[in-house]
Amino acid sequence: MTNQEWQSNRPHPSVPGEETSPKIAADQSTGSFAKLNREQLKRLVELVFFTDDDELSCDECYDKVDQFAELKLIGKQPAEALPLVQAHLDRCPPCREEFEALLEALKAIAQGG
Amino acid sequence: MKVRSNADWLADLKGADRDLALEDLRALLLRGLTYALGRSGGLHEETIEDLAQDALLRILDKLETFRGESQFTTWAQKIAIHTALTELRRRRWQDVSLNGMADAYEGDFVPPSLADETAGPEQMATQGSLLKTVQRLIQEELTDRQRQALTAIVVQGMPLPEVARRMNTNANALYKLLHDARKRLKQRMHQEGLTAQDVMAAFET
Repeated sequence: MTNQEWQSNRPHPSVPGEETSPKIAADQSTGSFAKLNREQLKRLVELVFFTDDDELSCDECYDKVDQFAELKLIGKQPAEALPLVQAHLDRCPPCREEFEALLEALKAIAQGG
Repeated sequence: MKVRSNADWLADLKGADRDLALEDLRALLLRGLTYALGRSGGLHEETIEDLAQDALLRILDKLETFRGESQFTTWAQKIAIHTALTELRRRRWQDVSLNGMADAYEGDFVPPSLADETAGPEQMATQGSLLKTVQRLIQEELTDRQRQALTAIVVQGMPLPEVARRMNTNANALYKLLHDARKRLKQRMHQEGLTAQDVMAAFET
């Protein structure tokens, strides 16, 4: 299906509560994905479109994230030296949370905390 | 605290100065975790001490894997934070099962796009159409396990390591499973003529 066809297959424009709304269009056979709200759908398509063939796994990112954090702390550009680590941190919230927490800890200790 | 090189840390933790080195490392981890977990808020001092102790044991277990690619203390803090956040996520999600989460959403589907006054009718229709397409591709392309994992992460917002634990796998294997799922969906979306630009335009306000 081309993009034009996809566009033409959209449901008729509707207003909240009308029978032709996207809620009606949802296919119940897909289980929880029938229940995606706007933000969830956006997150899902972002995840899909920002997929690269060559991605680090969580373990591979974890192996390098201490080096990445040190580069960041000394004002270097870790995203240039370790671009795949940056890409993983951009798309994996738990790994990003750990990286940010590590930076906080290292900064505080470096400042004599 | 004694200033140590990477080699000093390894030697001290394995040698005659072990007790002092352990105490120094424990104190360092405690300070690091106090700052690192500050954003989590509401954690008792004793909880952080317990987390630091668990982390210390984990680090000692892994000493042989230290390759010297960063400062020893950075490497140790990394392990401590990973250990602590893994445990805190487990506690936070412990009463939530994958099935339970799916059930909680049954019969409760009112896409906020419908209530979103910033989206016009045209945009809502585009989102509805996109939702249908995504549903179809998910149904056609993904395995049950891939769907289950994607549901937990996207619909329920569960962190990937917690989903992995519930699916009796590890974060690394689950990441690869999902990476494969995302690649398949991306390929199919391209085949359907959907570009990232078109799709993201459906969400611009």
